[in-house]
Amino acid sequence: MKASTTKWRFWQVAIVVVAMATCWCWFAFGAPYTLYTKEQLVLFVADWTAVLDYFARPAVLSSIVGDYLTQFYLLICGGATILTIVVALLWWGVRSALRRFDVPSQNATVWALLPVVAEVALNCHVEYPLAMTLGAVAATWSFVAWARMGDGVCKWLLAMILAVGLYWAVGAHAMMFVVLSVAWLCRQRRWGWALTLMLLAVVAEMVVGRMLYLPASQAYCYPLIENYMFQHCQLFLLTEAAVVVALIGIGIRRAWIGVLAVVMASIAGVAAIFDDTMEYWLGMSCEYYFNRKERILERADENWERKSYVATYYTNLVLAERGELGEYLTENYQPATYGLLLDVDESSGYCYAMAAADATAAIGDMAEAQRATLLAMTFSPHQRSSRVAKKMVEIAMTVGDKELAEKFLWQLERTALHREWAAKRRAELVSGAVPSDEVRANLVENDGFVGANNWYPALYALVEANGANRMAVDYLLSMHLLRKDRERFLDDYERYFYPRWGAQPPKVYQQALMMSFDDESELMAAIERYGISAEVQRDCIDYSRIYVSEGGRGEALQERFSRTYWFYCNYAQMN
Amino acid sequence: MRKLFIIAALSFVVAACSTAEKRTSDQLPPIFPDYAGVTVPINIAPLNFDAAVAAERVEATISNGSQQIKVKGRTGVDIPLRKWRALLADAERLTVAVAVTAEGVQTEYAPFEIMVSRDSIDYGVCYRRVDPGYEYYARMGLYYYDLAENEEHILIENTLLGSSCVNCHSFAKTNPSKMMFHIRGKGGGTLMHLNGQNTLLNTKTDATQVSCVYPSWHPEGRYIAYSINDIKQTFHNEPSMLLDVYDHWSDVVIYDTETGELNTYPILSDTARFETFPSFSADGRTLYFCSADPQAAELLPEVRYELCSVGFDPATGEVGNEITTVWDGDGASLLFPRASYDGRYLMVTRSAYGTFPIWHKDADLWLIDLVTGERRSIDELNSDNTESYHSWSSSSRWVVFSSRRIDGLHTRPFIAHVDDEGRFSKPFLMPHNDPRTWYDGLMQSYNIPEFISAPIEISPKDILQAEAGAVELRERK
Repeated sequence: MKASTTKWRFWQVAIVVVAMATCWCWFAFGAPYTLYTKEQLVLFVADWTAVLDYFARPAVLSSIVGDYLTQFYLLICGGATILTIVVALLWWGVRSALRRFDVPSQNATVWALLPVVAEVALNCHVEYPLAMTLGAVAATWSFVAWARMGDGVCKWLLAMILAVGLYWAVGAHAMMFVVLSVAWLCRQRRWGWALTLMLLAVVAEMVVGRMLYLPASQAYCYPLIENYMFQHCQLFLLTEAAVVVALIGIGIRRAWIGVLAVVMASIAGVAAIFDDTMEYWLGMSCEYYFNRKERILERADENWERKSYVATYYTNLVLAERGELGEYLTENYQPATYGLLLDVDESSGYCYAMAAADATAAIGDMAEAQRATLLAMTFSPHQRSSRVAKKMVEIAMTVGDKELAEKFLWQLERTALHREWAAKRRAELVSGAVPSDEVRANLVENDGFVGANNWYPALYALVEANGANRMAVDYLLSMHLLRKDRERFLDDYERYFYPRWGAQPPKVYQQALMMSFDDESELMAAIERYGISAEVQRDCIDYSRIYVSEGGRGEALQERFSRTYWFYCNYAQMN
Repeated sequence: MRKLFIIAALSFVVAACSTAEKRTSDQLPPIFPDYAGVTVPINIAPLNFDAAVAAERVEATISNGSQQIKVKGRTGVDIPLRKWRALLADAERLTVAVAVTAEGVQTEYAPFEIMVSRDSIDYGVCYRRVDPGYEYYARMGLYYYDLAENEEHILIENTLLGSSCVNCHSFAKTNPSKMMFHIRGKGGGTLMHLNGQNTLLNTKTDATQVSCVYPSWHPEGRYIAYSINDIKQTFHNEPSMLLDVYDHWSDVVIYDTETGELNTYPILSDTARFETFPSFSADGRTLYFCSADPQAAELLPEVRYELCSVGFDPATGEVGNEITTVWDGDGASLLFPRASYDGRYLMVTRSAYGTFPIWHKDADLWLIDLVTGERRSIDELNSDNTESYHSWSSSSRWVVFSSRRIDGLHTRPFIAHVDDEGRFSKPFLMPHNDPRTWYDGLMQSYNIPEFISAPIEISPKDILQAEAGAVELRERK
C-alpha cells in the first residue's frame, strides 16, 4: 500500500513537472513572438499618477501586476518563465481548491491541470493579458482561503464581499471564485446561498462595470478588451468551464482518464486559439524590431506556404535596406503590391499599423510613418505601447521635433527595460547627433497633399526630394513591377535609377527591362545600354522558347523560372 | 559614552544630509508648467509644478507678503489646498522661490511672481479628450474639470456608447443646464440637455442631408446656430502638418429649442459659398460666421474664410437680408469666431488657409474690438505652434484656448486673463495635481475647451436613457 502510494506520488510529481516543462518549452520555442508582441503592447510607466490610471477600470490589482510583469516578456524566455510560474500557481491553487471537495490528492493533481491548460491556450492569443491569468490565480486562492474558514454567517457574507471585491481587484476571472464557491455551497446543499452568490456576482460585475463606464459585454470580460482581434471574449470562461469539468472529473477513479483529458484539452485548446501563421509574421515584425534582420531573410522562404503580407513586407524591407530589393524581389512570395508598403485603415489593427511605420520610416516618409504609428497607438487595446512609443521617439528625433521626442522618452525612462534605450536616445537628442545628414536628406521639405495609403505621390515626393534615396527608388520601381506597369518602370528606371546606379543593374530589373521592348533592334540597344548580363539574356531566351513550345503552360516553367520576374508577370496567381 | 556615540552618529547623519553643494542662479527655475509671471484667478486650485529637469529634490517657498508656505517633494511640489487658499485669499501677487537639487547640487533660482486677479474664474472647463489627429479614434470621452479643486469628472466615455464618437459639446453662456453634444454613429444624435430634460435629437433631414455640426448657443438659450458640413480629409507629406480637413459644402442653420424647428435660410445656404462656424454676439442680435468662396480656390491651400455677420431677431428667429464682411482676413483664413459675453471683443483663429487650423502651426489667435473695430494678433497668447479653439468665461475676464505648444502633437488647454484694456496676461497650462506625469503621460489631446459655470448635472445613465426626438425642418424665405 505504502509502495503504491509512493509510486503514485512520483507519477503525480512527474506529470506536473512534465506539464510545466511543456508549458515553458511551448512559450519559449513555440510561441515566443506572441509573448514579445504582448510586451510591445504594454507601456508600464512606474509613476504614481500613471499607476492611479488603473483605478479607473476594474481588475486594478491584476492589471497593475500583470502589466508590470509583462514588461519582462522582453527578456529571452522571460515570458515563458513568468507564465509557467503563474500557471504553476494556478495549478497549485486549483489543486488545493479541489482538495476542499474531499477528493484523493492524485485525482486533484491531474484534474487541476485542466484549468491550467485552458489558461495556457488562452495565453497563446496576443491579446490575452497576463492580468487575466493572475486574476484566475488570485480568485482560486481566495476560494481556498475562504473555504478553510469556519462555518457561519460571516463566511457567507465574506463570500458576497469577495465576489464583488475580487471583480474590482482582478476582473473577469473573479468568476473562478464564484464557480468554486457555488460548487462548494451546492455540495453543502445550501442552494439558496449558492443562487444568491451567483446572482450577486452577475449583477455586481455589471454594476461595477457600469460605474466604471464599461458596457455589460465589456464588464464581464475585462481586462480582456472586446472588439479587437480576440473576437469572442467570452472564451475566457473556458477556464471556469475547465474548473467545472475538473469538479466532475475528480469523481472518476481512474486517473489515466484525467491525464487523457488534459492532453486532449491541451491539443484542442492550443490548436483552436494559437495561430501559427500569425506567430510567423509576428516573428518577422519582432525580429525587425530587435534588429536581427538576417533572421527575416532566413525565414523568408517559409512564406511561399504561409502567404503572409507582413512577412513579405519585412522581407522586402530588409532587402531594400541592403540595396538588394531589385536583385531578389521575385525570389520571395509577392502578393502584388500588398507586401511592399502596408495600407493602414480602420480595419488594419494595431499589429499591422505598428509594422506599417517601419518601411515608411526607413524610406524617409516620416509623415506616413507618424500617421501609422499614431494609429497603432490608437488601435492598441489600451492605447499604449512601448514599441510605438519608441517609434514615436525615432520619428520625432528624425524630423527634429525635440519636445515630442522628450514626451515619449519621459515615459520610456520610467519603464523597467526600455530605460537604457531611452537614456541613449536622450543623449543623442542632447548632442544633436540625430538625425544624420544622410537621413535628413531623405526628408520631404516641399509640403503637398496625399491621400491615405496613396503610395505613388508619396514615393515620387521622396525621390524628387533626394535622388540618392536608393530605398525610395527601389520601392518605386518595385511598385511598378509588382503592378506589372513596365512602361512606368522603364520611365522611372531611366529617370531615377539609371543615372546613379545603372552600371550595376539588379537581376529583377534586368529581367523587367528585357520584357520592356518588343522591337528587336530596340531590345539589342537596351541590352547594351543597360548592361544586361549574358545569363539574364540566356534565361530570357530559354523562358520564351519554353513558353512558346509549351503553349504558355506555366507548370513547364515553374521549376526553373518560378522566381523570375517573367514568371511573376505571367503566372503570379500560381504562386 | 553611549550617548556620545549616538550624538556623534546623528551629527554625522545631519552633516551628510546637509553636504549638498549650494548654488544660486539668476535664472528662472526650470519648472513644468511654466507659471512665472502668469495671472491666476483668486479661486484657482493649487498650481502644483514639477522640475523640468532630472531632480532629486524640489523645494518651494510661496509668499504673499504677509504669510508664506514651504513645500517640497522629490520631483515636484504638491501644495496643500487649504494653505493655498489662505495664501490666495488676501494676495495681489505671490512670490515663488524654488530650489532644485540635481546631482547633489542644490540650485536656488531667481524667484518669480504670480499675479492674483480678483476676477474669479468659472467653476470649470469642459473638454473632449481624444487621440490626436486622424480619421480614427479609440477611447474618447467628454470630461469636465473643477478648476478650484483640480479634479476631473467624466461626463461620458464612448465605451458606454458602442465606441461612438462624441463631440461638439456646447453650453448656453457657460450654463451647464443648457447644453448639448453630438453622439455620432449607430443610435447617435444630438444630446440636448435643457432644464432637466434630455433628448437625443436626430438633426439630419432630407433637405439638409447631414446632421448638425459646429454649434453656438444664443445667449438667451433659446436658439442654437449650427453649421452643416460635408467634411473630407486629406494628408500632408510634411510630418509636422499631418492632415487637413476641408468642406465639400457647408451651410448655417438655426435650431429653435422651443419649437423643435430647424430653420434654414437662403442667405445662409448660398450654394456659391461655404458658411460655417456660426457664433452669436453677446446681445444675440448678430450672428457671426465664416464664409469662403470655393470657386475662387481650386486648391485647398488657396481657400480663405472671411468673417461675416448677419442680423438676427430673437423674437421671430429671422435673419437679416444682408451679410456684412467684418474682416476678410487680409489674405488668411479666419475661423472659430467667439464673442465675449460682455459684447466688447470677438476672438478668432487666423491661419494661412482652410477650415481646420488645428494642425496648422501658423494658426494664431486674433482679437477684434467690436467697439473700435481694431484688430490685432494676441501675441501674449500665441506661440510658434498651433493655437486654435478658444472660449470666454461667463465674466469675459478669462479665456481658455487649446495650444500645441508643449509637444507639437497633443493640444493642451491654456488659460489667460484679459483686463479692461483688452490686454491678456501670460497664459498658464490648466493646473493639475501632478502636472508632469499627467500631461507627459497623456496620449490624448484636449479638444474644444469650454468654460462651465457649475458642475454638469447629467450622468451617463441620463444620457443613455435620453428620449429620442427629431427636428422639424422649416425653410424660411
